[in-house]
Amino acid sequence: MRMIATVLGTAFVFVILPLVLQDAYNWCWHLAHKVMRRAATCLPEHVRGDREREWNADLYQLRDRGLSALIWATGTLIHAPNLARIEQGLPSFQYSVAKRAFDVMVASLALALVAPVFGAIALIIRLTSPGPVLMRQVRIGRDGRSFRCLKFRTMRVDPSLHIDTLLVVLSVGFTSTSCHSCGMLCVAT
Amino acid sequence: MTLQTQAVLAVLLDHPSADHYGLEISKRAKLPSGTIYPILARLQKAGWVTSSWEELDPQAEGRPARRLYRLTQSGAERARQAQAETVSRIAPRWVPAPRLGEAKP
Repeated sequence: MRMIATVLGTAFVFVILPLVLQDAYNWCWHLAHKVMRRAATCLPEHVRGDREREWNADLYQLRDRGLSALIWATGTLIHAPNLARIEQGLPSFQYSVAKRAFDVMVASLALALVAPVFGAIALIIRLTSPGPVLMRQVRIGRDGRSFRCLKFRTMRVDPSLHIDTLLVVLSVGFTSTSCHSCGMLCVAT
Repeated sequence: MTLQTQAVLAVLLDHPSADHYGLEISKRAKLPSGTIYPILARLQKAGWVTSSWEELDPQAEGRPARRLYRLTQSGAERARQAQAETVSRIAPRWVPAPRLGEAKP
């Protein structure tokens, strides 16, 4: 009995499993090619042939990487419309002006619409906890320039004063639902 | 210029006169395919890089010819300039995050 199990197990590991894996690899590989061909159809005709050649060559490097090839192809497909737009030419001056105008107008309109909501949020923050309504953070923006980002404050100004209460509340909450990831919190209290 | 574009330019600037192909640039810039191809296309449209086909016999090599990208003369200059500008903007404020294990309380 054990003999049979050993033989079957060995056969599975060394014969059937590699076959199945090989199949999965081949399947991924063929699917990746299909995805790439689909991506190429998004492009204008005059660049389609060249792109297909390029993608085939790059994909060929990933021929025994199975899933990587599929991921590579999918990424290409997702951004193919973007690529098509670039291949059609960089945006004209008129387009850039129109886009900027659209951005500013829509943003202004949206700001006017949500202003009452912002006002209400500000009021609630002011009334429910001490401290400023807004907080400023420095973020990296376009061209690597940093800018001040304004946010509504969602945390307390003095969290350290409340940490003990908070830990107790948390540990009670976690232990009552018998959570296994609360080890550290329970020790901390 | 986006930081992704800068990453691609940095890879190209490593060997400004060498040819690079898409997958290689992607690996070295640590960016996925969907990001790399549009960036290269845009740089090409703007005249920063040129592309050509690798000259090889697919039968003999056992693989298809790659599309190769290379910085143009003016592209390399402008890329260096852009890189320097970004560094000068970010560097004064740049505080590298402590690595795990190095952090001190």
